[in-house]
Amino acid sequence: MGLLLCNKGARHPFYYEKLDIDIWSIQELSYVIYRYPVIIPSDFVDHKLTTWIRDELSMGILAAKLEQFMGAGDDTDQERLLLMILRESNYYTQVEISRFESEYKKLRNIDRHVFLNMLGDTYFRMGRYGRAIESYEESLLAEVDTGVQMKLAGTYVTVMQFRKAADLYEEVYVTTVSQEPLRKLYFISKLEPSVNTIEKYLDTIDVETLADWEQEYDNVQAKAEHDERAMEIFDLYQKSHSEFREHAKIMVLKWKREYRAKI
Amino acid sequence: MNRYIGISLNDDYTCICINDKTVSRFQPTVIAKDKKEDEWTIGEDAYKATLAGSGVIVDKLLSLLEKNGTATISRIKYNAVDILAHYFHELLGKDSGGSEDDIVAVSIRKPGREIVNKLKEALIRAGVHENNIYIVSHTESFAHFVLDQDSSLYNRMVGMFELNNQCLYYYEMHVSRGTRRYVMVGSEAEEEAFNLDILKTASGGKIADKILSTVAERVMSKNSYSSVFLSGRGFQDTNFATNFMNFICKRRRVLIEPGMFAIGAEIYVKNMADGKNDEYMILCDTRCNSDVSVKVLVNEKIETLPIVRAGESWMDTSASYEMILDDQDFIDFQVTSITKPQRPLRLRMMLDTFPQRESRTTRIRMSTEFADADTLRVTVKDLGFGDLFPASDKEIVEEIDLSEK
Repeated sequence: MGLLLCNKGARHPFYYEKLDIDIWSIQELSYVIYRYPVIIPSDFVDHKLTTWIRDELSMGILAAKLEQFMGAGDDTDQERLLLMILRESNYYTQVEISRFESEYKKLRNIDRHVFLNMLGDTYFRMGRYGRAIESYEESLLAEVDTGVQMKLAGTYVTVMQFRKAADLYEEVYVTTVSQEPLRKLYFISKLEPSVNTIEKYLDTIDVETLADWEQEYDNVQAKAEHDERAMEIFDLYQKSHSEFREHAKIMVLKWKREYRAKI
Repeated sequence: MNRYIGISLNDDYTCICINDKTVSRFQPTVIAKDKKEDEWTIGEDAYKATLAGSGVIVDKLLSLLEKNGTATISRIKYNAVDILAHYFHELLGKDSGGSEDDIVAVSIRKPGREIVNKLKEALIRAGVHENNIYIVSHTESFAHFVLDQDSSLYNRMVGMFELNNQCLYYYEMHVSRGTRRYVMVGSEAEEEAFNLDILKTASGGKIADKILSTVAERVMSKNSYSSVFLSGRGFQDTNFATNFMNFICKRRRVLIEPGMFAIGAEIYVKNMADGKNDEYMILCDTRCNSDVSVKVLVNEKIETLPIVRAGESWMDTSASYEMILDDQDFIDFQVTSITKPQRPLRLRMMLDTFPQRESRTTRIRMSTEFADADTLRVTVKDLGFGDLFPASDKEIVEEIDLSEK
């Protein structure tokens, strides 16, 4: 608890492709390293980054130290470089940095499909759904895992690719005979009635379970209808139709942009 | 060669001291412009030009500046800064001065931020380099003057009377020789101020003597003084004030220096140019009288970040720091008065109207600036955390009262 004193941020950001974001300070850089170690590639600390640290953050000593250790270029060095950045940032505590160190070591020793699965999870948390799909698919190519299939299907639902999602849920159901993929298929049929894979399996679901799902869906829908954004649009529609049409144009454009950003 | 120049400026007269702290000269604060040519004269020459009918005179220049006034001469409208720029140009002899660098301190009675900026602008336009301009108060000039004297003159309390036309002020300086050596200087206007014209007659002189004696007995009472100084045009000759002089000369030394404020200002710029640090921290109307700090975390250690240091000029004191909120939504300030260091004041500025985010993802910019001598204005802006947590650009502004109540 307290106030962390910072240097002034950069005038020009460091663009990090993997996250598609601009980084403006050493603290943001540390945050990305600490929170998303899975997406940090083995060549993350390179001359482009050290030049930015030197020129934009005026941290010449850190840049020089990083460059000094960059020569060897193996994975151990990369870990050391990342730790140097975390230690110099006055952002994480020593305890947190030690925790990161052990987590990062574990990451380097896990199987590729598990790594890709974690990568998919990280992208999903960050809202980068297109990249999450790529990672889950690669993971499945390396080794088929129903858990990963479920996550991939869930990601498809998030980007409204219901047909692909339904095919995957069906595949999982056939393999596991678990009820969860059926529940998901039921909700897909509600969201997109043309994707009605669930109909093939309705006989296998008892009436009570179906009623529960129906209730669950109704609850979620009711909640969505009373969401602040939905209410705002509804109020606008009631107030003035012409104003609503103008607003709708903007909203549709915004949603399109948001959707594109997701994939 | 550099010229070190101290100028004491008021509506009535100007006193200037150049390079020599023993010599100062007075002249009326007036300027005249030739009706036909672009020629300006100041002081007595301005009166002469006006009497000869060749010039148009402008007086009360400091009031003109304070009121953002204008003067129209030969159908040309000049604003106060234009007039002051011409006045300083003539006063400093900028046409004949050659290439020397002037380092100038102007002493005025009440330097507020607005008038200081205007004076600086006028001096810059008169040809003085921006970095060589200092504006001080009469109180501060008095402190610089006294501290330049033999230390036996200020080992206890020091008093000073300033007598000018319709102007009677009493100044007092206290010296502290504790762990932090400082002098505290203050001044007050006395209601009994009178027109100096009464000194032209013997009966008027007696009245003036009576007034001064009454004021001296009241303000000095039975306090113990190392020395008493007299300043201003009214004390260029003290023969009229026999009783007053008898009173103030009892058991203390009395020194008369009519041009004290100009000389004090000259001493200030000379000391600064020579890199001499003040032996004593000066606390007066132009200086901060408290330390203000914030506790920050640097590499997990709590450190004190000074925002304001006592003794600094409040008009030149501003700061800007960027910080990240680590699981807290407030800033705690510690205000330590130099005169009461054992009782620091702790003030909390709440930032709970900023957006709620996970810990350590709200960066703030805290800027501080003095609104006036006793009010520190703190502005805190939400900068978010880059693209990860966009800024709301919300600002919270609060003022810290540093007056010693």
